[in-house]
Amino acid sequence: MNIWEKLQNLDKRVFYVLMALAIAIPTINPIGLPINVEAPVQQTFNFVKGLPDGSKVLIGFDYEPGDEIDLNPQAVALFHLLASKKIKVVAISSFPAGPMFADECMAVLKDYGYKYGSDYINLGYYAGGEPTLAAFSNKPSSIYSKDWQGNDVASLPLFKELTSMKDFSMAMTLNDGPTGGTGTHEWVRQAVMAHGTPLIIGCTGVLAASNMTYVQGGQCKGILAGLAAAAQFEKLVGKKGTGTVGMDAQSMAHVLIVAFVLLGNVAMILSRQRKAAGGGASR
Amino acid sequence: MFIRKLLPTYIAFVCGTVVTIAYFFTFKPLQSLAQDIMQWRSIIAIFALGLGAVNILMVHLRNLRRDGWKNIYSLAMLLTFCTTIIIGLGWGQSSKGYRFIFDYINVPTGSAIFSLLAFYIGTAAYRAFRVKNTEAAILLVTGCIVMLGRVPLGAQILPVAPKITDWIMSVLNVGGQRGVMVAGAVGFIAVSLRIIAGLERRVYGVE
Repeated sequence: MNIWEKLQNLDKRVFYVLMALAIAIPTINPIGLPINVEAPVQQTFNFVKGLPDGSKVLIGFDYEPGDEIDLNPQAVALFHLLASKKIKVVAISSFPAGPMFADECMAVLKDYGYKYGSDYINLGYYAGGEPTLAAFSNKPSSIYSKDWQGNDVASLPLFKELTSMKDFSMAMTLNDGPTGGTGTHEWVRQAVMAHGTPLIIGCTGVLAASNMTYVQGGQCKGILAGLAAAAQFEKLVGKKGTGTVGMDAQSMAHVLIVAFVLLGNVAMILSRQRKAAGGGASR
Repeated sequence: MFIRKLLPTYIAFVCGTVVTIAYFFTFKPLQSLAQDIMQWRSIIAIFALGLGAVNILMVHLRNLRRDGWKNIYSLAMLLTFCTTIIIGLGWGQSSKGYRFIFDYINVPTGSAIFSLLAFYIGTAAYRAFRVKNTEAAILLVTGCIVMLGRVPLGAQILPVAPKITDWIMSVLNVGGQRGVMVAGAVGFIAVSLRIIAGLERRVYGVE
């Protein structure tokens, strides 16, 4: 086996070690690579920035552990911007883990003097997917009688102001796909089509391909896809967070994969040329 | 016959028709009925969750009865399942105990499993992404450009990558995705109409 054939079949453990180093080193010692803001993120920022001060927004925490790496930084960066405009926040979740993530991300609102119950509420998990979201959109009190902490919703001043989805100046779904809960498609149908509430999407990087359709079609006002979008949004709001730190590691991981793919192909082409020239039999 | 075949069909017909009409037309009594139906759906879903929990419990108890304590996975499953339920019901989801399980067991294990993808996808790409024909070459070049275009370091290495990535995502990708989504939606409407009309009964477990 010549060197080119060996390069085509490198021990996968070599790759594993390099990948672990490529992720660990920039995470421990961030490089601080420059972040360029993409058009969809700028569009999302401009839309949120243009919302009326003091209005209300609805955020759906529709994801499970594993996807919080992409979606929590998006939520936190968004909350910084919403808080600077004194916009009130209502959180709901179609996954059981969602309320825990909402609670974690909404902690940033306390730094801006937000009070639970009057400025933000975490209503918790709802079962049943899209029909339940539809029922909530028509009449929130038909689905929730208590919030996530067990408080009676009638005792929450912000909840008393809610009559339907139309009360929100914007809705957002942070989701990892429709499996088991509500995803972008369901939110487009229930928030945008049924009530005309503007929607922005926060999704994992892998869903960018399918969700981009709604933004280009005009059904959604913006999209944040993956950790890259979180880092760009952090840059726009001027609050560096885990998104910015994570981009260094993600950069290294992407470049390593591309380098390995190119290496494998160069080795394959050279190996073929060598064989064609009659030198491939050497061992 | 009536319970298994006709009753589900009647329920599907009434619920499907009422909810669909209420979505498109403003007629208060019908919209009120549709709202009730959607609330029932939510309640049924909660019962389904309970049924799922009981099912999991029975399956793993059966495994333990069959294999004894050797079946470490079923044992671990039952222990964590019962502990989480007891703490959740007893002290609530916002309690310190529940938060501990979520922060130190649930999230790390979920993230660990998900992060393995970086290693598996990386090695899979290295072995499978080979220029063996024109289509494979197009896929490889597109994949590499998009991977570089999505991260800051990639943009430093290949400055045109972000612009090409943006074009690939917003033109080529959206065109294809839109076709798939529209076709899927038409199929979804057709299946829904068949269920409402009682022509599709396999969803009730009836051939």
